[in-house]
Amino acid sequence: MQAIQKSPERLPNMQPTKPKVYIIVPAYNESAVIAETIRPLLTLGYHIVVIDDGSHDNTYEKACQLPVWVLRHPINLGQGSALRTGTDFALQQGAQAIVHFDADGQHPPERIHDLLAPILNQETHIVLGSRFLDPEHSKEIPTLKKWVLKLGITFTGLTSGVWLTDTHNGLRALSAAAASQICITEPRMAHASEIITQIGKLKLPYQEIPTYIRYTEYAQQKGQSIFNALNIVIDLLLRKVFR
Amino acid sequence: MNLIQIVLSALLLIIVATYFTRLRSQLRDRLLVLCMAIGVFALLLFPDVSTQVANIFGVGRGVDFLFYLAHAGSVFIAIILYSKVRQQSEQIAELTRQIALKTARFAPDDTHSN
Repeated sequence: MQAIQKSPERLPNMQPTKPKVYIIVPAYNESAVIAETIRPLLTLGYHIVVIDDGSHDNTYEKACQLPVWVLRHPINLGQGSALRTGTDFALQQGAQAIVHFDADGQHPPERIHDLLAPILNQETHIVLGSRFLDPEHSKEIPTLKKWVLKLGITFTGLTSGVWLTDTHNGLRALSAAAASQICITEPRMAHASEIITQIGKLKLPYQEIPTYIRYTEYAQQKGQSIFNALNIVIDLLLRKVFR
Repeated sequence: MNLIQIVLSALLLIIVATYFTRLRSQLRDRLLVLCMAIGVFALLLFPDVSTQVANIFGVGRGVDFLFYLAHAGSVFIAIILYSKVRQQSEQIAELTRQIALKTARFAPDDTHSN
């Protein structure tokens, strides 16, 4: 096996003094949209890391055509594991800050600067996107989904002591220090709750910023079913018993 | 249901939960399985004892009592197996992640680096 490559000294469009930020994009069967999702990120001047989580389609091949880091899990593990792999890779490369960004195009790339600013200005260690802080766009959230999310917020608040306005938004940024302390052990979708629990336990400073979710037809079709919330609760309970 | 049944059931739940969350080790698991096997073996050799023991627990027949124990033993073993499968899944996940890290590549080019 080859040794881990180091980042080239300069990437296209990258200023030498730009902070070393890695955008982690976990992807599973996203060949239809991966290129579209990544392209607007290329102009930001940050390092992009796509983790193909054992896709059956040609997500990996499509990602390999872009000027990004590409890692591949030989078998599908889940978004939590993919984020962990990407984060570990970024830390090995000397990242100063890490962004988590979904591959399905639901997240707005223009929010990444707002996400990173408090971390790069050393005001905080973790910035979380919240769709409920954006009054204009939060009207677009389907009603049933809104109620399930609110239940999730209450559940997470009670179990972690951290009360957020949006606990299952995949858009987040972490300083390298925070990223190295938080260990994502939940392989699938319970990682979002796990991250928040660890923020509470480790007393890491955090902030929320407004963001929005683009509820495209593609994303809605692919997105988590509301009943997956039950899976998340069961995963978290099982982890408490089988440590 | 009388009070002793409630109290004993609650105590049993607490003991089992404590065991699975805090006290497990390979040695203790094996000792427990061994004790269960010895107990069953003893009851097989001395079947009348099973009826006497059953009566202490408020169960009429020795055979019924043995079935209850066998059922509890099966559940115990199923939980142990599930726990081992979870551990193995975690090991596989860790191996998968290490493979991904070691084969990371910076695109784009037209050929795969391996």
